[in-house]
Amino acid sequence: MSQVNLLQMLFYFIIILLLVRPLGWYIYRVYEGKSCGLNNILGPIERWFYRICGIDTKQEMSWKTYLYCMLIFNMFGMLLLYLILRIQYYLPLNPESYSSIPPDLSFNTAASFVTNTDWQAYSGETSISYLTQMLGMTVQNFLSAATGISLFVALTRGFSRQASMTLGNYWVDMIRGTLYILLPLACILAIALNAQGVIQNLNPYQKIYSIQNPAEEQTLPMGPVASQVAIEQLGSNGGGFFNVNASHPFQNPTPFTNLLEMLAILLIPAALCYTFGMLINDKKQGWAILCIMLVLLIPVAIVTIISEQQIIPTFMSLDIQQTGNMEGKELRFGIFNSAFWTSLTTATSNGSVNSMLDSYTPLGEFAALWLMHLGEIAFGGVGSGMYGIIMVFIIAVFIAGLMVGRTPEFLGKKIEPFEMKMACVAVLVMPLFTLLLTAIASVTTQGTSSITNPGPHGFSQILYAFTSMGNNNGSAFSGLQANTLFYNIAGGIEMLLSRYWIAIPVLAIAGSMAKKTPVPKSAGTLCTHTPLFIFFIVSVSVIIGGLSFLPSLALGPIVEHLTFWGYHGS
Amino acid sequence: MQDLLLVLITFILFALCFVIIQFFDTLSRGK
Repeated sequence: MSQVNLLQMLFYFIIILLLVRPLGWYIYRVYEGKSCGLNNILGPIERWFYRICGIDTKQEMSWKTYLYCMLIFNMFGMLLLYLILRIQYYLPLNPESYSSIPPDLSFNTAASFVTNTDWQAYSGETSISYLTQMLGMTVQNFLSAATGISLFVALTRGFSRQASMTLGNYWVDMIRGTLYILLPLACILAIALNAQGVIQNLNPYQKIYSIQNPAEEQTLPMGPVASQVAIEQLGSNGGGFFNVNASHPFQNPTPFTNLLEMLAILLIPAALCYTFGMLINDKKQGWAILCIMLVLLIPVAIVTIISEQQIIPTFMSLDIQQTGNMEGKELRFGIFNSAFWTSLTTATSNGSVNSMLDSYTPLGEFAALWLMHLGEIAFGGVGSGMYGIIMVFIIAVFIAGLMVGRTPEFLGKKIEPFEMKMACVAVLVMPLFTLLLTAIASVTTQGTSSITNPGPHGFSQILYAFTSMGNNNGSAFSGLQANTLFYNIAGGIEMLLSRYWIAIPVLAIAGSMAKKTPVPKSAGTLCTHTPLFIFFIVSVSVIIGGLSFLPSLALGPIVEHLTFWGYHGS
Repeated sequence: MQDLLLVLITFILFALCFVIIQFFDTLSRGK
């Protein structure tokens, strides 16, 4: 890894760190209902929504009601998206007259977008109409991201409130999050991307003739790309307009758009750390979480970049000068920007790609899988990353309490058996479904028939698919033929269960915490923002991820790496 | 037919979530 690469990475993280505080402060003010600078413009729209929907903003909800509202809203959102996909052919804004999407693929896609996963078993530019992209996908990109942030804010209220039965109002949180945070940021980013060349139109696909062969007709896909890409990156969604996602020049045309989209991937998840600190009135805790996330992300990102910059042992006997693994990568971005993007996108549950992961070196694949196997807590999805890491905090506090003989407390609230049970459920849901479905797919014809590269790499393809869907990430090894009945249905169910079966224990903890009164600080209080505790949390995260997934990683990328170098290396 | 089945699966999955909420609520009261 060259000095220029290190400087690029440093430059990137400096920009993120500079934006964390103002955006985190802004998000805090939005959810606290304080003036945030946009109230004059967006306030009337917000109030109009409340009036039209009959929402009483003063009505607070218990954790159960909050979850009921979230689930019902998500269920109807999913059914609506399913319907749009199924009747796409009969709807307007379909200049290419694309037929309706088959039932199993519609189910998978609807589950994918409503859960913020954006796993795509379809090819956008050859099967999805403009209306479906805008009314179906883009709308869910906003709503699923707002749902994640709302759940995080509700959990935080559980810690900050005392002797309370309520966690806020789900509808108010959703409307405020969408209107004041996601919409303005998405508008700014979409305009910036459009100015750089990301297309935004409703034109029919263009026919062109290549200069090399004037007789050969080519089709250029069009569409409202900039508006979708903006929220796709900001909301940790990742579902690209085009099949090759951010490798496509209409979605990511310049080095500057590449930087902007990479910044958008981490922007809100990083800012939420500061928001958390403000909401619980302990900014040090917010900075400590940000520090943990960076410690988990940066070393793995460096490993990914270095592994992709290595020479390929297969080509060592050939008389060629190797610059690293360029297969599946865009020449416009090079190895560093491709590998760094991959680390960011797998760390944040974003899932968009600007290079093809199936062509990565086994070590690069391992790193991408590892960032997801941590449970999407090294930033994670918008909101979901934060409540994910808070679950790890609860487990770590409990373990630390047992080790030093202190009563486990987190943010002044006692951690009791119920919270521990819920935290364990939240942490174990993802590994359970991922490993179970990977095992089923590995031993059935329905699972193995989709593999395009047998052996350990084929196993990695299956493991990656279910890891990605189980973590609501959405990135994919392009080698796996995922559009089959088995993968569509199994994946759809996994995405739904992973999203909601984690959200339920999280809010159960929030409800339980809100009822408690804080314990006064004493000499026995465990300080959870010290460097020692940061190290402890990192260790607990690595142990949980390692214990859950190391055996499966050993069958996939690890054995592939050893074979790779064993056969060809010296 | 497949549509009906998939919509039914969706309803069942969400209904399961409601059952789990009730279960966790009971668990929290008896802690």
